[in-house]
Amino acid sequence: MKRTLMHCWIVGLLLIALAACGGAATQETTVEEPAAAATTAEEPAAGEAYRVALILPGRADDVSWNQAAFEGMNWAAEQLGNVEVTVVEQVYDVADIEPALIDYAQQGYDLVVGHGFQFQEPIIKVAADFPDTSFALGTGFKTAPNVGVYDVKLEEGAYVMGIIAGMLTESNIIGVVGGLDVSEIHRGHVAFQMGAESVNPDVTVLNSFVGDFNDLSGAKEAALNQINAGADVLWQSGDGIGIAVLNACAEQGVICMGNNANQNEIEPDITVASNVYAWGPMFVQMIQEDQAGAYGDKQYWINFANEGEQTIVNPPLAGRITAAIQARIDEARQAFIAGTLDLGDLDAITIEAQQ
Amino acid sequence: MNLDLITSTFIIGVLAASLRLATPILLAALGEMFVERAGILNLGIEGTMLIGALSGFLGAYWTGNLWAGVLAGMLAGILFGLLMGFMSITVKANQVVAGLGITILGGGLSTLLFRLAFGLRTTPPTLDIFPTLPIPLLSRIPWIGPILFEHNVLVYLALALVPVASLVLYRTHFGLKVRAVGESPDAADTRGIRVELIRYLCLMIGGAMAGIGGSYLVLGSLGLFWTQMTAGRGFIAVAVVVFSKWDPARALLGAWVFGLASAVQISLQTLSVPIPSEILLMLPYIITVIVLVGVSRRAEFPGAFAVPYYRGGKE
Repeated sequence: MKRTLMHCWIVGLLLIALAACGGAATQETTVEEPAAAATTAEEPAAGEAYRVALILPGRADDVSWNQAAFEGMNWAAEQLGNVEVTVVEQVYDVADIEPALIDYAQQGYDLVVGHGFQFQEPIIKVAADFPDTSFALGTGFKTAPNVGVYDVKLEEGAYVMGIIAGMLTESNIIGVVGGLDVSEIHRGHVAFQMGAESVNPDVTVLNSFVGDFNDLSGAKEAALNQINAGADVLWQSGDGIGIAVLNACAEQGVICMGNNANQNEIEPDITVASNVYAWGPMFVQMIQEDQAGAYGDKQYWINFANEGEQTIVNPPLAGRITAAIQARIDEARQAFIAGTLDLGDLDAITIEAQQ
Repeated sequence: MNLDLITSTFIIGVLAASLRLATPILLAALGEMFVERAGILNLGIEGTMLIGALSGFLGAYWTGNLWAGVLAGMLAGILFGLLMGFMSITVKANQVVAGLGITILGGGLSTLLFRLAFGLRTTPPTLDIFPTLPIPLLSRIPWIGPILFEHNVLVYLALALVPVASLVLYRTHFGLKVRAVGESPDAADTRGIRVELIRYLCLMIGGAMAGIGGSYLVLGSLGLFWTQMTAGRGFIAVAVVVFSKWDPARALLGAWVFGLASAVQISLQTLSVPIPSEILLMLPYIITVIVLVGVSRRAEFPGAFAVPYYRGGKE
């Protein structure tokens, strides 16, 4: 009996090591679309509303990854009219994803959106059983006839964040904190270092991954550790843990930068700029193509060229972005838009090998 | 590798961080120790810490007083302890299932209440945390000072509660009753000890401590509440209790080993050691498993561990 209990402990611990997270809470927030109602009033024969289920791995007000999608989808619905958006939050555990997808597909939603890399396998699996429902996967590489992938060219924004950090640093040490070394986060971290090195060949870039997108306390310690190592400008690749990095920088009086949403307001005294995602126009395009029957097996991007990604400077600290820094930012931005700046296959570069 | 980044500031920072990382685990483990000593396994610590974190935040945010936050976290923890008591003592439900149920409840309820309290926000509500309180003279000792004596009050509180827990457990009537109830509830009952009352009291202590542990994350570390912010610390606390062989001083050691492993893992990433981050992230957990396996051979669980008590034996 005692031995069995001990085995239970060990198995439990291993499970924690694999997926350091607790149970998930699922809540639903139905966003009634005012624009849709207005459109229906004007055109009574507009027909049935197009229904979107947006499934978020975190909170819709995380000032980051999830909030950007939440606001983008509401914006898209407003622009298009006659689109009804249902938002589900906190579908974080992989075990909860498949039932959520099946649930919304069965309810007859036109488009079911899984906003995160962890949705990839469940979406491919469930989409095969619901050929009449369109699915959208937020970052990933697998598509299907009724599955489209949308993603962010984080490498573009991250490269610019690297330029700012590389030029602002006085210690020649900068750092970046992320959740896990996967998908767009990986590309962002690699490009951040490339951007910094393009303006400052002597710069050392520190990389930390927290392993859990909800472990804010751990993220703060990672940021404090980088600051103790001499880093004087930090960036983070987002989600809730990003707020903890801003928090650590504010505590230590170190310059920081935001990602995903405009995070300049959270710690306005130390945040010089944010790399902001605007998913709205891309969601509009996806919905329109789905309505026209041209959806699926396709990759959609937000980037500098379509203004889905923007570098937004914090007005009170705009003085820190000197004309020289602004010139390098504009140069890189134009090069990305023109397609003349190619960073290569970033997935092929490991963080360890880069340093 | 960036080994040239290793300075005295860096090393002191890592060691000081190990104490901060150990604090919430230590607080929860000290409470869980009383629970397990009384013969109950409470796997609801993780959820209790989350509800403690939320209540700590709400208490401090609404009153503007950080100690009111600690008190609120404690009270919420006690309520969750009583709930565990109702399920495991009164209803005599399976303790593993009841505990895991409480953990899931704590995660969901804390998220829901936070949303009800604040709605959808564009920026999260925050508060100022307990300030660092350097201990006069002691904090000026080189190395030792900044590592041990430059923390906020909750870190000192956790450390101070270690001898208090020892004293209560080994030197008071109450402690004796707790141990008796956990070892042999039948014998304790015949001596006139109220088994169910003692177990309820222990669950209240355990809940209060887990509640303070959770509120430490909000009031002593971040100044904001986040969904699932405990990130497994409650389960680590349960493991630390087994490692400690139900002894408070060893619980301090166990919590610190985990805190140190976490701090070292973080610094190895910063120093760019050529090991993938995924492997480094497992380090604290692997060390905990190895230590547990080593200890488990000699671990003597309380005699009535995880067994509901039926007066006069189960029919």
